[in-house]
Amino acid sequence: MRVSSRTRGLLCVFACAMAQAATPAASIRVSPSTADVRVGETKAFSAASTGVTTVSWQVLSTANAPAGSLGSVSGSGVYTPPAALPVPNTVYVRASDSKNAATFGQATVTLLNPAPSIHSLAPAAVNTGLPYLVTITGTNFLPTSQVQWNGAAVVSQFVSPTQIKLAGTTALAANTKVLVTVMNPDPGSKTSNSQTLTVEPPVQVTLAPDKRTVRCGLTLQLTAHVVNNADQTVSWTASAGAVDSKGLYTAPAVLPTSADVTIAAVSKADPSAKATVTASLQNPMPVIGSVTPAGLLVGPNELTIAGAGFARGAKIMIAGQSVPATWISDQKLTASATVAAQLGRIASVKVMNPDPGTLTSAALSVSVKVATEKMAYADAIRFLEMASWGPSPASVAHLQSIGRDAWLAEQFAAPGSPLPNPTDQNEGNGALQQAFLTNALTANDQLRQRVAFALSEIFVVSGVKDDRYWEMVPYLRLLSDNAFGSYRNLLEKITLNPGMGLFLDMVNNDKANPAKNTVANENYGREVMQLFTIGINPLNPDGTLAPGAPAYDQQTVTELAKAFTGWTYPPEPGFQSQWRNPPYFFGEMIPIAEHHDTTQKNLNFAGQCSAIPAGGTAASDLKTALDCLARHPNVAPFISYRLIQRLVMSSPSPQYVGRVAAVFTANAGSLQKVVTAILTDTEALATGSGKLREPIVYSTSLLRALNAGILNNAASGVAGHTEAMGQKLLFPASVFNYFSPFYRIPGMSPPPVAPEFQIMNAATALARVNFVYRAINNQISGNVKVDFSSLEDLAADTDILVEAINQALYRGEMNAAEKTAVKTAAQAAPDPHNRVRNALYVAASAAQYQVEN
Amino acid sequence: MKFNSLRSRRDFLRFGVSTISTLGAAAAFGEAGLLSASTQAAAPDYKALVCIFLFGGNDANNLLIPNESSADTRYGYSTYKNVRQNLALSQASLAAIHDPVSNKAFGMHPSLQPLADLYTKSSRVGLVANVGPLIKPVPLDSTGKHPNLNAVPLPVNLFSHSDQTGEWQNGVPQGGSSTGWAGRLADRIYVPGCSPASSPGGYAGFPPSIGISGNSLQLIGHCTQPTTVSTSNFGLIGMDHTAIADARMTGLQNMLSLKSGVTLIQAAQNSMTSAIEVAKIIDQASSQTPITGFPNTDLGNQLAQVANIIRMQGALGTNRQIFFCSQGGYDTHSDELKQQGQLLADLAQAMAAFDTALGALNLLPNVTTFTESEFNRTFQPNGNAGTDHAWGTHTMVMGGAVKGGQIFGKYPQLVLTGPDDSGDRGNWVPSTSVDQYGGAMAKWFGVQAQADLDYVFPNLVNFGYNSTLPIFG
Repeated sequence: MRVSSRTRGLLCVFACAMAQAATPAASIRVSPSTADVRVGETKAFSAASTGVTTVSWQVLSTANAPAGSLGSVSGSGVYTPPAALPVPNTVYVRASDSKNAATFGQATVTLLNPAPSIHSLAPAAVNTGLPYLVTITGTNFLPTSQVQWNGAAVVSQFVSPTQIKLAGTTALAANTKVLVTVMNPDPGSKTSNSQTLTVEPPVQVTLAPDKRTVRCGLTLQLTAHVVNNADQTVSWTASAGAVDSKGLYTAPAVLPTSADVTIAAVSKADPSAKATVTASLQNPMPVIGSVTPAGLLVGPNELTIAGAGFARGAKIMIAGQSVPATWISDQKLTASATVAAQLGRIASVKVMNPDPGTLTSAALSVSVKVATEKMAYADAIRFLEMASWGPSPASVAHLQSIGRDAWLAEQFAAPGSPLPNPTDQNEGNGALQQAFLTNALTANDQLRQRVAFALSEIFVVSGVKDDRYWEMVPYLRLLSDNAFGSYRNLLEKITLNPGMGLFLDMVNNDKANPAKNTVANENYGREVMQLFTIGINPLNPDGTLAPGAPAYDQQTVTELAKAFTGWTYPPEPGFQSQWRNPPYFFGEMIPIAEHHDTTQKNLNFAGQCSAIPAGGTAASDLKTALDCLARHPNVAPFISYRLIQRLVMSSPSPQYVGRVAAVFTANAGSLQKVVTAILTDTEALATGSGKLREPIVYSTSLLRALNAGILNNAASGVAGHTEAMGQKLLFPASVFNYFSPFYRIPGMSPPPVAPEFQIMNAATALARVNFVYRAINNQISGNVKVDFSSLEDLAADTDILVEAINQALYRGEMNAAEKTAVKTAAQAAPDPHNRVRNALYVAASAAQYQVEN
Repeated sequence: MKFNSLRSRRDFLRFGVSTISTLGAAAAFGEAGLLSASTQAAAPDYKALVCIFLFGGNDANNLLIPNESSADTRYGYSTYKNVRQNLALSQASLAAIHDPVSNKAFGMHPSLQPLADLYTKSSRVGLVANVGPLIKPVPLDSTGKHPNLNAVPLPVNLFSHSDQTGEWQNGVPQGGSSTGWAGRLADRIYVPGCSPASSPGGYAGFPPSIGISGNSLQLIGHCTQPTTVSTSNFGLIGMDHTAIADARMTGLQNMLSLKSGVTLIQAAQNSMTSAIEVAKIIDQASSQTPITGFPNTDLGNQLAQVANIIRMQGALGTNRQIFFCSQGGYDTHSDELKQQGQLLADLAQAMAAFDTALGALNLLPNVTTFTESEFNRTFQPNGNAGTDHAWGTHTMVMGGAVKGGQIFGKYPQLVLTGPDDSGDRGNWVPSTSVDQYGGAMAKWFGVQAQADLDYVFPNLVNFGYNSTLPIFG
């Protein structure tokens, strides 16, 4: 078509020129006479004329073309084609005589399409199978331009001479390289340079990080990465919670029904391309704002906890004990909680959210006190130092709740804790030590045990001789059973106890035998006077020394020894008795008449008993002798003084001793009445004059104060520590006990009476401190366990910690300097574990705690 | 083994020098120890007294036995045998010795053979006959057949364990003394002129008196105070020199420094403060391997510890030391032969080991070891194959300075109700007082002026200052 049109134009130009050349006078010839000129290029023509002065140039067409649509010719013959091809595309560049237009020459110019050029493809890649829109930027594009991929035409849309758009979906395989060209058509068909278009694999989206858990109320930053496409934009969605345009996911405040949340990122380049993460939501971090009421009571409580982040199923932890809570909202819980008395009268309160993502809140400290205090806290502590193996949180609360008189009545009625039988006759006392301490640390008959222990330090039987369990246990049971009975009855029972018989040689004590030149054994006769009844010196009713001769003389010892002759071990069940029965320790010793000295025994008891008449039996002489002793006026102050020392203070005033001795006398030596008088005396509760905790009591007191648990009903490991501290349980060095009632501390002026200090020295002082270290670090044994987790919860605030220890060990009366010392030691430890232990170490090892007063 | 104690304590007790100052005045004796801790050389003119107290009342009638074949009431074995009956040791079993003073044969308990050897072969063991608490010598009555117990004041509460233990230790059998004679001896050595009017506990050096078996009255002075060292684990555990442990120690010491106004708290603070200082000093001074060779018994361990401390005396800065050890179980009211035999065997072996250890240290002439016991036992047995409380007893003295191989003092006549019997069972009235016994030690230790001896043994004047036993020649 175009070729034929061009041919026709050429014919026309030629015919016209021939027609006007009829006048030869002047002529103009344009050269070249024919030319192809491409749009965008120029062509210079020259005119050779004859007889013409000046020529003027013009461009003409056979068509009636609008002005300018044919291009232009400069005055010097340079032709510039129009931007668009005219129709027909043949024009004539004419040079004519400016004076006579009929004289001209012209060139026939065939105009050609411009040459296209591609500058860039945007994008330069498409995805296989994915609709695309590629913009080709370049020059000389024509509406008729044809885009070709690897030479094959593709559909395109002409936008402008500099832009063509391609839209479509390619099926080319991934990673194919396509050469893109633009071809302008005839006339002058021309193909551009090529640009490479890459066919990428399908679009993919990936998500990072690969974290799968998000806590409610917290955020998770996600990053999407679009693969195989330059367009990195994605759109975000989440099935719960929210994601912003930058991928920051915010979990909902409360756990939704489903804990699994799907978070998706969709490629904007390819909406079919997306990535998802399934995140597991976790319960929020609970935070306690307040506990109402602010102070809890020992026993049942109705409490409300306000705060934030409480999850359904949250539990309340009070001092580490889980309490079921009622979930009201994520900001409120309620509970009915029975709260035990606490170490330091303080408890940590925490909220523990359940799984998923169980978390426990920071602790809040709450005081735990007795609802109705019938006895002040400090008074209750002091009282239990005297009347028990040391105050424990529970025992203090109980005493405060019921008051002193009710407590005493309860204790007097409480049956004694059992001590197990020996496994065999050869078993040593180690197991008995352990059973003894287990009772001390855990059993309820505290006063009975403590009084029995006091009695055991007056009426001593020691494992240094009675070194087997079965030799000792009946004696301990005896003391427990008779701790609240009458003194006279107790005296007879201990006298007839085979363990005592062995220890002080009354068993098998024979009357004098002239043939063997032996006489009665003086041991029991002497010690029963010196240590169990009247003592060496005459006493006033208030225990002070009375003037006059000693309470007895050596002759009385010798004579009294005769009264205690004729006793042997009880027979083993099923066996006949004989003189010198084989050792057997259950039951009372039995008399053998022919070995009892029936002569008159002359006693010199300062007018009380002058003699035991001749002719008595072993039993009658024994009762007479004990009656003589028990009636002695020394007995009441003698026993009272020692019991006060064992229970209350080292150096009681004569008035105190006198008051107690008067009760002793008025009540026929009722130990229950005597103990009551001792513990309720005004001097007992006065501060400043107590005693050094003897090692056994120091050990039990500390462990009880620290609420130590005894596992397997076996307080193992404790006895070894009391031994290192100078007090081997059940093994006082002699019948004179671990220490003397008269011991005075040397080097002080005046030297104070303080029996327990007789076993306080450099070695035992260090052992005491070391006991504290072992105890607070759970190094006593596997069965003695302290738990300071509640204190550790609160240890971040050392003031709270110190106050708790003040309450637990110093009955709330620690002074400022002491608090500072404890606090400073605590603060040096960064972690709660060591912080609590440093504080306890300093407080419990200090002399201020070792001495109860 | 007990000696691990001193060595292993290094792991137990460590604290910086800076903490010492917080101890205040009590730290003063630490300075002396620290200053001299760099030298392990023996202190010049070093002497030590080591007391071994036999608690319960050793039956000395079976410690030193007459061994003449005659029927002499004092020296004849048959006299002994006739009264002792089934408690008599067989003559053949005795560890035979000869007393050059009386020129008589004696026997020691067979369990004491190692000490009898030292008596006979090296003269490093001597025996003391019939010594006990007295205020004044007890004369015979007009018949000359019995002691006149009413002629002079007697020790209070004779035959009582607690009282006679106290009287042996305090040297004041009238009663009422809260100090011991060894403590007063240290007073006069370390604080010349120390008197009851002096400030109690005024001496600030390292304690010259050391108890190895708990507190004892004997070591308590007025100006000097003893310390007590255990045979194992003497130190504080957990002091591992971390900041946390240091803070714990500082806290402990801060509490020790606080005044409470309560006497007993002050007393406990004193004990603890001293304990920490003593432990630290001994820890620093004890750098050598523990001495071995002792029986692994309580007494063996005690004497081993004494040997260890004696070895470090140069570092402690004390040239006079007094030690107190003890052995219990002698209250043999029944089954005596077996019980006492075991106890004396332990005693003899431990003492012999101690002698060997001192020989190895080249300190035999510097250390004198002696026994005490609150009383002898009745010469007449009771019906339980045992004996009861009596009075004058026999003791042993051991050391390179001791003029051993002889019996000091006068052996009693073994006659019930006889001239030496205070009663009717053979309760011997001592022929030598504790003052004369201990006074010999005091003089050897360097306290010889009458005024000083009066302070240490107030009753010595009643016996004569020159009447002390010639134990050291």
